[in-house]
Amino acid sequence: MTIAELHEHVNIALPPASAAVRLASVSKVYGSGHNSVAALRELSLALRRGSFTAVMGPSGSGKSTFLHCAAGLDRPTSGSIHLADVDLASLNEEQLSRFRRERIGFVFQAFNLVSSLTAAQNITLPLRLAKKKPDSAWLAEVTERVGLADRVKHKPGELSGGQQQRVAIARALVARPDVIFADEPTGALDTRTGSAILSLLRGAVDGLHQTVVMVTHDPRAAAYADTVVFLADGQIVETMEHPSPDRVAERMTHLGD
Amino acid sequence: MLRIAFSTLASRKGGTFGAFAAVALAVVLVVSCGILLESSLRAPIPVERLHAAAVVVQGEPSVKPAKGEANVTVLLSERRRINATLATRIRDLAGVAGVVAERSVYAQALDRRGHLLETIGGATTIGYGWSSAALTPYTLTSGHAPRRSTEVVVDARLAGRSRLQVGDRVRVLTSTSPQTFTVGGIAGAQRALDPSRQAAVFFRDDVAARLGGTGDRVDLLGILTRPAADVADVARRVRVSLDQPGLRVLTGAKRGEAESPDDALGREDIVAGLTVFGVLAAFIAIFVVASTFALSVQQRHRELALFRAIGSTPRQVRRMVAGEALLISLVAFVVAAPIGVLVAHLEQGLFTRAGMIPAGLHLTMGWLPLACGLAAAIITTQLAAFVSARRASRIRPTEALREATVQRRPVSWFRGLAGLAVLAAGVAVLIIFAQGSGVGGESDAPAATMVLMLAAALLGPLLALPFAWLLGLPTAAFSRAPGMLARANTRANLRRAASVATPVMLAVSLICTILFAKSALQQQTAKQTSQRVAAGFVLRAHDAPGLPPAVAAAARSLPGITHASGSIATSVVVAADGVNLRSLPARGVDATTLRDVVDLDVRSGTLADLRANALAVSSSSARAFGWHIGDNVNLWLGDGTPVTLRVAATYARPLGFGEIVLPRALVERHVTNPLDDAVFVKATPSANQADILARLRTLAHTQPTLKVLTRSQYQQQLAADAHKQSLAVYVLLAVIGVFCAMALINAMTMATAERAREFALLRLVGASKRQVRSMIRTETLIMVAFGLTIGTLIAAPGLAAFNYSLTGSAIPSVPIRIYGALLATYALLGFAATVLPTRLALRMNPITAMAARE
Repeated sequence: MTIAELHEHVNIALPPASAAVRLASVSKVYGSGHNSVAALRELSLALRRGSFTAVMGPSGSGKSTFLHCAAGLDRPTSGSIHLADVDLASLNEEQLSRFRRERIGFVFQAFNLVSSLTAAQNITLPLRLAKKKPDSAWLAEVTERVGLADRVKHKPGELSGGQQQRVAIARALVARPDVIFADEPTGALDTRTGSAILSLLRGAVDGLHQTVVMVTHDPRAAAYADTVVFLADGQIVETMEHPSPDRVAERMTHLGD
Repeated sequence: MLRIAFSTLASRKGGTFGAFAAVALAVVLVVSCGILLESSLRAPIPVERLHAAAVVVQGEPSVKPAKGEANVTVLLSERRRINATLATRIRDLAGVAGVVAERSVYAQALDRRGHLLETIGGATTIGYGWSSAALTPYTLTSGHAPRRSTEVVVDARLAGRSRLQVGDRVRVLTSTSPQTFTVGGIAGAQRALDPSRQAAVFFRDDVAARLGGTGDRVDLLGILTRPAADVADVARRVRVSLDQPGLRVLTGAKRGEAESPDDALGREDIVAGLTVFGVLAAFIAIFVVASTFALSVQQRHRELALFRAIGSTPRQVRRMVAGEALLISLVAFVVAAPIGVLVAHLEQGLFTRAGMIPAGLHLTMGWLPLACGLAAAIITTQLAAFVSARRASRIRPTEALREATVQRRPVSWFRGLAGLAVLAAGVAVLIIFAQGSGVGGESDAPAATMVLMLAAALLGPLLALPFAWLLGLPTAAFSRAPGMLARANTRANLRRAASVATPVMLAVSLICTILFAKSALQQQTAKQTSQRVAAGFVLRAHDAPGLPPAVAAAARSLPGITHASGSIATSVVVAADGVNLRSLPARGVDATTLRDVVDLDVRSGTLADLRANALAVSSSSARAFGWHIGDNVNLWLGDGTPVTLRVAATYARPLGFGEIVLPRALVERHVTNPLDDAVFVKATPSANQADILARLRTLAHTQPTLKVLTRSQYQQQLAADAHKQSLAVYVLLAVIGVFCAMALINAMTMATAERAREFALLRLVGASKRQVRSMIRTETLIMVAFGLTIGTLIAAPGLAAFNYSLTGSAIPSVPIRIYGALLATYALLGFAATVLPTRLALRMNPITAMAARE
């Protein structure tokens, strides 16, 4: 399959209405003239609702830029991005903030939480910022689901790294976003704790029909996803359905070729 | 370690720059103040009129306490005269060509139209015996020396300006009554004299003695040396032969102090004022540097923990922090010292305009102010670094890898206990001070404030807690998420809040204390004056040191005038506790005539007993000194004469009049010029005010220096004088206020700029820029309110105690408008200081900011 065919395949395979995230011919160029660097080149991709996608690629492949553009944190140089059928280009800064608050959840590698707030306050922060009242049943379910019911009164400094990531996931879940973007969520954790976090994300997809996009470089983490998208030089070079750690690792080693 | 210190500094530009800026500010303040102080101390008083007198013998112009250990001397307001017969003891010493016993007497010459002879810059003419002409020397340009008692020799420039010639008649105002003289000669100084300082009229020596009325007591002995004589040798021989206390022998530039005692006294005031400024400057510098350093070390918590994690010992961390502090202080000094020199020139302009320092003061550039600046920079930063690093070195290595540091105790046990101890000391100072005297209390109130400020700095984070809690409540309810965040952030970062609020606290507490003590004193002075003055009219002098007593007598004999009582303003020196000397404003009065025109509100004893060796004292001073009616108390009169006087009365309205009231007859013999400062005049109740005014003004025909004031004009004049004296204080406070404002902006910027990552996280979680700004505003509100409130609370007890000792009421009078303006200024500055760093931090892409190193 050529790259062009692959793009065709990904786009056509999914009818637009069911896509949670849709990128069409997205390019992102930093700088101008001789010094310009293209981080994304004509990238097109659609992600199904309720899917778990891992984005992989070597350093400089454009995976961070992809995440920033897809999440509306950065505007592409050309091309369009739809998130839950909203054209991100049509939103101004303030609208974009509000949109992110209501429709997107984030989980980062580390320093995810506001250190002065308790776990419970961190979890409900997006709702408070949106001036919404937290639904207590839903809140209880989320905290139960991430296994934090007895730690909600603690400040981040009193929680372990794994517990902090659980809080971050609960926070991402509580607003029922259209997409959760996770940037190396297990990067700072040991294998066992990392597995637990990935299982939580997997569970959110399976049990809550949540859409998750995760950038990672760890084949074992990527194997939790439904689909792995490999990026190189700002372009999609391959997608892999039903990945296994070995296959992903094997593909990664040859990605530079 | 210094190399690592350097590279860690270079990598942390924000915090480093903040610390650097604080030290630089401190250096600028200390250096500029030091330059002014040194220049004032070294400013020579020119030797002009005594130029030819190589050695001058003068009465010791100060009082030293009896016990040797106290080194504080008080300069006398009046001249300590010496016995003319001392001249005979030194006349025959080797190297001495001649000795002139000089008397300077009040003598203002009038021109033909009856106006004062025109002088430059308000200099008044002074009368001398003709023998004094040799001390300059003055030589006759025409005419002859005064041969007759009615002849004078006039300064050539004075004569030139007023077109006086030999043979002309001039009227001369004297300390008794105006007298007419004939110009016998005109004399010019061989050297050019500063026209604004010197204007002489020479009488025959015995006439000068009669006009001075001091008998055989003279102002100084001027010694003319033989051409080949060594001045130092002559001075030594003079000292040996005049070996007695109360005398000083001056040579060289020191003679200026004998020539112009008023300038020496003025210099003492200037130095005292600048010393207060210096103490405040150093105090503020220490606090600002310490709090900023604490903030910068605290911001590097994680980095320092990392050093611990990779194997640095606590000692190494401490040394690294100390090394950084040293680097910062050295660089800051190099950058700030030249700025300090510039600022000294700026301040000179301001202080000169405010009348605090004389115009034309030459700024000397000695090494001492620079050394003080360097020492201040190094010592304050090392102290601050020591305290902060002690804490930092105890960081557990594991904390390096944790997401966030758990909030530990806001203050350590040691710090808390130290804070409480200082607080107790502050309360003790207040109690002592509340029992003390109102006079000079303006300078005690800042002392109490400074002790309390130290306590507040130590307990700062603890004090911030209730503010975060209480103020956070309504704001959290008002703007839900930002308010809640602001409240949580402040509670989690009490040390940061305390650091940022420190400059506000300093400014508000010091400015409130000094400004409001001053305004309370002025207000009370005005009140007491209006209650005290029962006279409808007051006669005062302009362009002259005072009015001769003949004026009061003449006023008394005018039709329609029932009472007229003159009083001499002077000062006395009291050793309150036997050691510490204090100069108090005093007045010589005629108790029998004063009673009807001035109501001192006598509380005990009676003014009828104010005769011979007696005094009356204000109730507050009596309380402070432990004096009671009938006690015999020791004090020094204005010219340094020690006396033992009986306390005859106490009174309640001293402000604007004098803390001590003495019989006029006693004072007359111990002042430089026995002239009335004010003559209080009362007319018959039925008299027409305009008529009385017109009649009083006729007195000016013979005494052109007379100014007739109504009671309200007199009050206005006192208020204007007080205001003029306060101007210097206002300028000084303005400089301090500006310094604190800059420190506040610096701390605010530092505290905000470090939070880019935190803002980014909030943005990603869904906070709009507006919500982040709202959070910052609320946090600023909490911190500023904290600083303003604690600053006010620090100032309040000192002010209350001062007010209590002044008026008996502990409620200080606060000019609400000024107070409000002060609060508003610092609140606005606080808000303004966060705008730019917040904007910059928010401009960054949140993801990039998240990825940036903490």
